[in-house]
Amino acid sequence: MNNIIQKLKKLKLPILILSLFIAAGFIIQYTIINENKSETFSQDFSTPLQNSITYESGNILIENQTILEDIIIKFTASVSVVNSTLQGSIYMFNMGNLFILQKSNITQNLIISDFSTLFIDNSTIGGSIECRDTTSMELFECYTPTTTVWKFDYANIILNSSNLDTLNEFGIAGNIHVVNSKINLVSLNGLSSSRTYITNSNILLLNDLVFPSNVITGPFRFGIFTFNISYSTSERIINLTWIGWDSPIIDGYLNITFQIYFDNQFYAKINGSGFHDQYSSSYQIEISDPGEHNITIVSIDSMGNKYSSTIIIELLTYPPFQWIPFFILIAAITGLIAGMIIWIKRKQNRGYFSSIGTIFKTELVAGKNKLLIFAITSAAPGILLSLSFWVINHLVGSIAFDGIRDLINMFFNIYIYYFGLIFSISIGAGSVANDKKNGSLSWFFSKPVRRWEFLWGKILAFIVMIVITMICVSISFTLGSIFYVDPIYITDILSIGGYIFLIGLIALLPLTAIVVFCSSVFKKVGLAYFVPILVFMAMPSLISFLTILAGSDWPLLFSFTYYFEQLGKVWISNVGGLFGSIGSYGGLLGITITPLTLDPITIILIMVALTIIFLSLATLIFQKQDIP
Amino acid sequence: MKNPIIQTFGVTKVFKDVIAVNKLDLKVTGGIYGLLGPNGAGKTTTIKMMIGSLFPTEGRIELFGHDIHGKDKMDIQKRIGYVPEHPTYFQSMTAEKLLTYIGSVFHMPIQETKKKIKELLRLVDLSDARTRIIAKYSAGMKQRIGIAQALMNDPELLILDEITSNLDPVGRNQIIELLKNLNKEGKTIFISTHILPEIQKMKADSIAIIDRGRLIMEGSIDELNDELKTQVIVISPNHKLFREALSSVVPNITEEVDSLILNTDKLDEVWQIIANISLQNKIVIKEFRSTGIDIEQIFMKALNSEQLGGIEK
Repeated sequence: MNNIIQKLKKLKLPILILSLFIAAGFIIQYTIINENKSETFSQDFSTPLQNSITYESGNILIENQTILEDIIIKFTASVSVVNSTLQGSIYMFNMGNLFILQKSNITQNLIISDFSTLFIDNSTIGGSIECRDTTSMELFECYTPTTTVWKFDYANIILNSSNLDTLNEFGIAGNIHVVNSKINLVSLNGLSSSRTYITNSNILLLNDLVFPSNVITGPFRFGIFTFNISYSTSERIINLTWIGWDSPIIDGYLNITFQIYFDNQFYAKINGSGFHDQYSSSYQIEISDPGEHNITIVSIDSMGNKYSSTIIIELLTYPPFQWIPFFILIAAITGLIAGMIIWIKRKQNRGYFSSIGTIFKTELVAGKNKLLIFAITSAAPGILLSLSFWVINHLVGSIAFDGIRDLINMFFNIYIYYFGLIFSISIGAGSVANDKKNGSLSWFFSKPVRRWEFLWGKILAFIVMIVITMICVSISFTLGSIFYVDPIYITDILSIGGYIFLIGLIALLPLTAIVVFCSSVFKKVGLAYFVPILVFMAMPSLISFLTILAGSDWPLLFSFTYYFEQLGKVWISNVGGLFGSIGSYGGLLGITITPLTLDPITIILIMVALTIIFLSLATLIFQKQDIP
Repeated sequence: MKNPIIQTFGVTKVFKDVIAVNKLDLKVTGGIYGLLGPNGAGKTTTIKMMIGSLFPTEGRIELFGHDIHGKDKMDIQKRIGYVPEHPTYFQSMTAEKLLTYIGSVFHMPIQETKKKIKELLRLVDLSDARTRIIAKYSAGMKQRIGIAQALMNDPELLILDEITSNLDPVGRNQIIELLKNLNKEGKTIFISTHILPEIQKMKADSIAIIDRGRLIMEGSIDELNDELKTQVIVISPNHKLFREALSSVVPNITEEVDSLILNTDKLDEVWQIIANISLQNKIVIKEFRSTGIDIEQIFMKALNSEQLGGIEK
């Protein structure tokens, strides 16, 4: 007990700093962020607005009137506005109902929240409509070409035969149905659990930023569109879902036929009938050949009207991990090390003196606790990944393989970015610098130990530690995702696991080489820690900006993160890079930036060359360096 | 003549714009060799160049007749043991583990290592603390484990850098006795210190005095005594007439309760004065003796002379 208290006493400064950070975090969270939030999205309704009329219960009819004040509709009040003009803003919350009917005119904004319902028929809205959490809104035959509609969490919106300027979608869950309408811009920004169905409508610009893009298994994209779209995917099972309307029959018996064509060949026919005003259907197509494919869905209603929509799908294929060459390579490296050991032992029998094995073994034994911690913490990304998949699965009902790839790549990028730095610094930064600083190195070099042997004994131990840790990380990512995929994707997941190991190895080797270089060359311990942080964390951000100045991505050659992100894009998923080029946003700034695309072999060669250069420089300088 | 075990040839070490060691020539042929100097004199820098961790800016250092930075470095290092001033061995290891590690660095067979560890821990009186981690050792214990690790390879030469500076008198005496015994076994001991009485207690065969990186004097204590021609004269009683008469001859006279202590090379002249006064004034001389010089006085005198631009090697 006393020991624990003593240790806690020693830790008081770090605990104090940590507490300050946490406190600062809370302050920022609850003041600045919440303040901003409230400015943007909410208004305090606890005190009545000036010049406002509040309805709290009952059925209220506003007919042939002009109201100048703001209107607040609370609780269970049900307000019907018929052929009237409301010149103030309208706020609804606590389960209020509002019907705006028969050529009414709302000149200001409409904000609805908390289980409120809004129905607008044949009327105009001058301002914007904000549908907050858990609300529903329907616009029917409304000509509102300047109106923007905002949709947030769990809001359901139906636009039928209406006209809008912008539809902005945010948040989780809730559906949007757009039927026979015209919208200038549809911007989908929320989670993939929020579905959008667009049918027989005219959308000038569709901005789909939903990530992962194909988590919903093909909903709005496959409706009976007036436009065709194309996209790329690594999904080999394409789930098509769509909605069809039998236009002559409303609220009656529906009779509709869907024909599916795959690569211009008839593929399937589905008949839909029943007492519905719409019919939704789905179909699964399995694609095996990589490349471009087209799928056309033709809807034929009871009057024989045909509507068709075509989607062009490019089946992306990621290269499978080459296990056999990989194991051959591992065997060759192991053989090389074993050969070196045998060679050294033979030389030792002839009087050659080498301590590399002793140092290697000692470093490995000394680092076993760190290694254990890294191995245990490597389970974290797998657990988080699994949890994320579980949540998405729970919300959406299924998760597409594209989404799995994207999430794995995103998690891995984050993990390797932070973990890589922590790992390499914790094993390498103090390895030589601390010994140098406290004088134990000059003592140790009074023994018959060659300096390069000392350095390489440690480096070999670090390499073994990297390999063991990356095996754990790879297993963690594989196990974190393998239970969420269709069995046909299991080989892909195993392949991703292999690549995670390889990319981790490729990223950590040069990084550790830089850390070892700093540790052995710099006389100040602080530099051994600071320089790798600069190289790995600060430089990528600075270099990202340089791409704008250069008008090209070539400065990324000096950004360490670029390399493993690029490998991730080629091998795991082309979505999910975190840092890379700011040039990808160049379009927003009106700048064209020439991309830099290096193939994996070039990247591997660069990384290996960097590793060799830094380790060689470290060895050469360390050989001739004064050890104080 | 014996071959030198350590010999430096005009060794100079410059750190940026500071000359830490300046054209140093030392020669150690065996026995106990004391490198004396005040703090910052360049003792540790000299030692670190000897063990091979620092490279001389100029000059060369030979141990056992071979350049320490030459191709025979490993062979030399197999024959030496080094104990630094501040013991910073692997603190998380136990004494046993540290010595096992050192044994493996020397590729000693396991059985031999075990035997040696037992023997050395007994020698440095750490058998009971062999399983305790070094970080928990007292300063004296750390120095003793330092000596043990330096003896693992049974070296011919022990290089010790101010190893008693952080110890209490008991610990200091233990170490001194240990070193004397090791010297009796035939090991050459090169020790740097600024605690001068220790060198005397160790009965160093030779000493060198350095200051600001320069060698001021080198030789046996007796040789240095002769060279400096100084001795300590004790005269009793402490009489006013003695003091007055001697003050014109010896500038610094230390007064004790019943005696005067003079530091001078003018023994005959002093005796003449004392004898005359004694006869003329009938003062009985209780004591008149020359004690020779102690190392501290040599050291101080050498430094003073150096500062005055006097004696120079």
